[in-house]
Amino acid sequence: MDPGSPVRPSAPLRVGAVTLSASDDAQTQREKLARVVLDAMYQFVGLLDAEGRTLEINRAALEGAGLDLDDIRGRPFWEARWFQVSRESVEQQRDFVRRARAGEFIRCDLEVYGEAAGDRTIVVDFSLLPVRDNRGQVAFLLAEGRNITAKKLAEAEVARKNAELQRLLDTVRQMDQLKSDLFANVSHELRTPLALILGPTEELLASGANLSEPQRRQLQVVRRSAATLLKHVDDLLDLARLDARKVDLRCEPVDLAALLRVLAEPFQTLAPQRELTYSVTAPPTLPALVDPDKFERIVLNLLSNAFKFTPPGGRVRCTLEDLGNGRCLLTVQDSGPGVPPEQRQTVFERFRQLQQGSTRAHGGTGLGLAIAKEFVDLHHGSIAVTAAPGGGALFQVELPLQPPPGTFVTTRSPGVAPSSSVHTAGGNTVLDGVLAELQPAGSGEDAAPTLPQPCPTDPAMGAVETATDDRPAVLVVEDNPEMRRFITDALRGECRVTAVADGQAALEQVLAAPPDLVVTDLMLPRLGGDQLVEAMRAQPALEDVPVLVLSARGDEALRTRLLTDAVQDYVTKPFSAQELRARVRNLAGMKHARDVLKRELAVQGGDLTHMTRRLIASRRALQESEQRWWAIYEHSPVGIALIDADGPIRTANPAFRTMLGYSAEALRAGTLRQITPEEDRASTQERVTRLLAGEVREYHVQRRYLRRDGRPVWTNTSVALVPGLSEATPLLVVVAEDISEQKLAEQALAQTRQELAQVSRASTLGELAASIAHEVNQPLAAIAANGQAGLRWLEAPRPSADEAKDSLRRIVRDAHRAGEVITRIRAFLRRGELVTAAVDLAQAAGETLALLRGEALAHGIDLRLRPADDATPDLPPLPPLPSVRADRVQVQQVLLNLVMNALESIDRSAGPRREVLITVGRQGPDSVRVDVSDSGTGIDPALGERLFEAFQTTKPGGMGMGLAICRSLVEAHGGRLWAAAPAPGSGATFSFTLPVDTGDAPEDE
Amino acid sequence: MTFPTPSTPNDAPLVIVVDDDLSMREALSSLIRSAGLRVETWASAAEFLDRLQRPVNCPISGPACLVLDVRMPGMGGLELQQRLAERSGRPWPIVFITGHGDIPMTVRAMRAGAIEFLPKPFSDQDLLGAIDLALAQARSAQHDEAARQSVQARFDTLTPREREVLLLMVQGLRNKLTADRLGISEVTVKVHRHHVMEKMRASSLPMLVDMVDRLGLRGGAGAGG
Repeated sequence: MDPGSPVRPSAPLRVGAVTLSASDDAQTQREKLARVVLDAMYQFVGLLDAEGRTLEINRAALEGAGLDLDDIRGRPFWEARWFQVSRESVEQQRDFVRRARAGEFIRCDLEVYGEAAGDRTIVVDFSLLPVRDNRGQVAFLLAEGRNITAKKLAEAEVARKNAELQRLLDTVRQMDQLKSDLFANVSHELRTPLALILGPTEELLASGANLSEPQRRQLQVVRRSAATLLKHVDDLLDLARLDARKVDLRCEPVDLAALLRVLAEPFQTLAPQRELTYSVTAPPTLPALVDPDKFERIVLNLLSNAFKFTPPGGRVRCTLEDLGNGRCLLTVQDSGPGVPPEQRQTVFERFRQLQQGSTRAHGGTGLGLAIAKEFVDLHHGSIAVTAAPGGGALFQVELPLQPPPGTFVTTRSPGVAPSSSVHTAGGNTVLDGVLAELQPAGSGEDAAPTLPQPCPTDPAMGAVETATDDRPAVLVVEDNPEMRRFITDALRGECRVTAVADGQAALEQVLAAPPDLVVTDLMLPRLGGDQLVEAMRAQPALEDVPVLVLSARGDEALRTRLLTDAVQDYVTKPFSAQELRARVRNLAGMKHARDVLKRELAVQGGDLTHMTRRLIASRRALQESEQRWWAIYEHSPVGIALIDADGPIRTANPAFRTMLGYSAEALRAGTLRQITPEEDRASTQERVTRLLAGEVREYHVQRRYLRRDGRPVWTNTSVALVPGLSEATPLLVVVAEDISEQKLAEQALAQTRQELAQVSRASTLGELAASIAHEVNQPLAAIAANGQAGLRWLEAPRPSADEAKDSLRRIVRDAHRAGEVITRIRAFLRRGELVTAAVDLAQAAGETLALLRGEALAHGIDLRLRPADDATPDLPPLPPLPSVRADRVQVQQVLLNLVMNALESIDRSAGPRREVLITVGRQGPDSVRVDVSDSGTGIDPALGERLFEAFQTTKPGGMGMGLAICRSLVEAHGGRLWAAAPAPGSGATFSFTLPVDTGDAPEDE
Repeated sequence: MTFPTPSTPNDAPLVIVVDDDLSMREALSSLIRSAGLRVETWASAAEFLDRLQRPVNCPISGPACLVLDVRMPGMGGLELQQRLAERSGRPWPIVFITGHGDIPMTVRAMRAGAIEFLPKPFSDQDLLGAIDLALAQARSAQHDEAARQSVQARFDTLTPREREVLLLMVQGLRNKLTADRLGISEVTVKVHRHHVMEKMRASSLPMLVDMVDRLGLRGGAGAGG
């Protein structure tokens, strides 16, 4: 491009308010371009005159404030919108102008309205530059503003954070300081009473003569617990001192090897108790300059950790070796769980333990390793932990044999027995504390403690459990063996105590054998106290088991939470045995009451108020129900009586009394025997005996009772044992319904039946009249003929007395025959009760047929009886049929009826064969059977069993009672009557059976 | 049944009783014997028929009648009557006795030719009277039969020509016509006529006619020829 005229657009070019055209000259173009620059600029630019009046402002500035140039041109700069943020800012700007006019270059950050058309402020890097003319006078002022809002905000943020950090840092420092002060103060305050506990206790134990064994044991518990406590306090104190940099190394010449051996010695006895193999390896001597007390602490802490973490059956190894380069290496190795890689740094920090919430794997304060490290660091040594070969942790401490320069060194001769300024008088309580932490309950002053291994449960020591032990069962969950023992002892007298040492064991125990109460610490290994409670409440069966929590001071939040829904009570440590007992008694008592109510009400839920209300309601309901039952009993139309199994009548309702005609007092003095008719007493007794023996649960029988006036009354009686009573004599409930009327009706019915049968017989005979007449006629005609013959023989020309005699004889015989027929007929027509006897069916059939022969002949029907008519001389005679037990007349009636039916059926049929066959034979071992077969019309298969119904007849003009009566007669004898027809139109066979006479006497009612 | 001693044929009149009732049989046997008659008793019609099949043992030669009970198991009296009527041989006069007395039976029996129908009990006179009648009928039947047999015997001695002449004689034909009819001379006719009268032992023409009637020869159907 030609520099003289930089832009030569072919067409006018508009940029903002500027139009560039080809016709512009160079100067115009330069000015236009300058304008383009100004307008396009991002930053704010403005030109003022020397007085500070606005001459030019660029577009960005104008837009930022929502201004038009014409509004502000020629007006004071400071009056413009940008500076209207506050009065101060206006003044300030005015001041800037004045100073700039005086030649000062102003530069600062300002807040101005510069966004959203003057509605929002921004922060600008503002400058005001005096522009001198060639004479050096200020001709113009150039105002510039760069938007640095974002940057400013960021800066503010940083500043704020810095301030915060600073505050935190200050706070941390303060806290740290406070803590140190606190530790120091508190530790001192703690140690004084501890000294006062330990001292006298040790003196008592040392003096020892008048102590009883339980007392001695208690004192040992006290001493051990105090020693443990003291160790914890010492640890804390040490840390406080370390923090306050009040700990110095005081080095002495020491044979490290010898010292190590001495320090490791007490653990020798501990190892077998914990079933650990333990070895200590060191060179014969290892002279060094170290602080012996601190070395002791290092060794003890490492060893105690190793012992703590190694489970039974494991091993702990402690070695010391001279590295040769002026340093030695102390290693302590265990076969416990080891330290996970991610924790190998942090494990040396304070209060670090393998712990989750309230579940602690192990006891202790978590300071041991921290202190060890501090002490190692003081020596300028190093300590680290890695994985031991074969599993477990390997702690390595590297110590220089010479102390760091500037360390205080005493020249005491190398000694073995260290004394520590930390100790109190008498005994190595640091060691004691360490050992106490590790040891289970029950060690004494003896050198070799003979203690039982730590076991998961301590059975209630010495509690005598009897079979009917109804003391409440309490589960104690406490990991501290001393505490556990203390609680167990406190509760032992009143409760059956089972004790476990961790939460998991407790849960298992509770599930296996739900106790009446659980007393638990909150801080427990394996499963924490609150988790245990949660798990318990999740089981519906354990909902009711009350829980008493042993709470420490700092557990408030947890305690409150638990109390709200899961735990019934708590007791804070330390607590007295009395308080514990009182609370336990309370809770166990409540549970007992609840259990009783639950059983009583047979409900599941456990809310005491609710259950009590229900109990009251159910009692009331029971009362009402009782009243209702009483009303029923009193007004029942059926007799109800309660009778002792051995006879005496306890009570009888009005219906029963009325039925028997007794007054209440008279009946109450009576017995079952009295109201039973004599002949029924044996069977009554038999029934009652069977009921009492449990052979039947109840029985129903028709029986008579004896009224007061001696008359019998028939009843339907049901008798059962009254269940659920714990009386000595069982009670019978007797319900008896008077069926006298019913009985009368039955008898009347039986009577009617007899009469009907009789009438039927008569009518049958009526039908046989002609036939009967014939039967009688035969002998009569013979008699007449004989008589006449006799006369002739006597009047003959040659009379024959012999012939006449024969005739007379025959007359007599035939007269008898006729007489028999009459007799039979009369017997047949007799009225009255059944006469049951042994009946020869074949013979009875023969007699009946005699009556019918005439009839059969009249119809031209062949009538045959088997086996009688069948007997052929060639065959052996058939075995005789047994007699049946029956009423002869009724049997004959049935047979008569059936044969008559057969004759009529044949008559109605048109078939050529006209015969009726009667067969008498056996039907199984128990019955005799008679078949009446005819060659008549057969039976309509559609009739089926209706054939035997009353008023069922196929005879024109018949009444239809015959078969119905026959069946009822047969069935009354215990037999059966049925019909069979091979095919319609080819005859029928009617059969009946009667039971064989067994010779037993008949059963009477 | 009482079986009379065999082997000796007896011309005395015989009464045969068939009744299933023992008392009746015994009484009747006594009664009939007391009247001087011979009696056989049978318990069933079948047994009686059986006896008839075997006349060898005891042929019945003299006059005989039956006393039958109407109602008997198996074959009754009426049926026996029918059976007997179907047989050839002697006619059997029957006296029925019955314990039932129904009219239709009576009518049937009488129509079939029974002598008498007596309900039980009957008087001895009624029974014996009926038996007499029956025997008389039997006798007369026997006579008639005997006579017929002798006539038949005489007839059998006639030559064929003589039989021809006889038949024409009884028709009332004169000799001439007879001669013409037979194609022989009148004289020959007279000779035959003479022989016929002789052989037939007829003393008169009417007698001859009677004889021919007896033989059932009138109406053209000739015996023999």
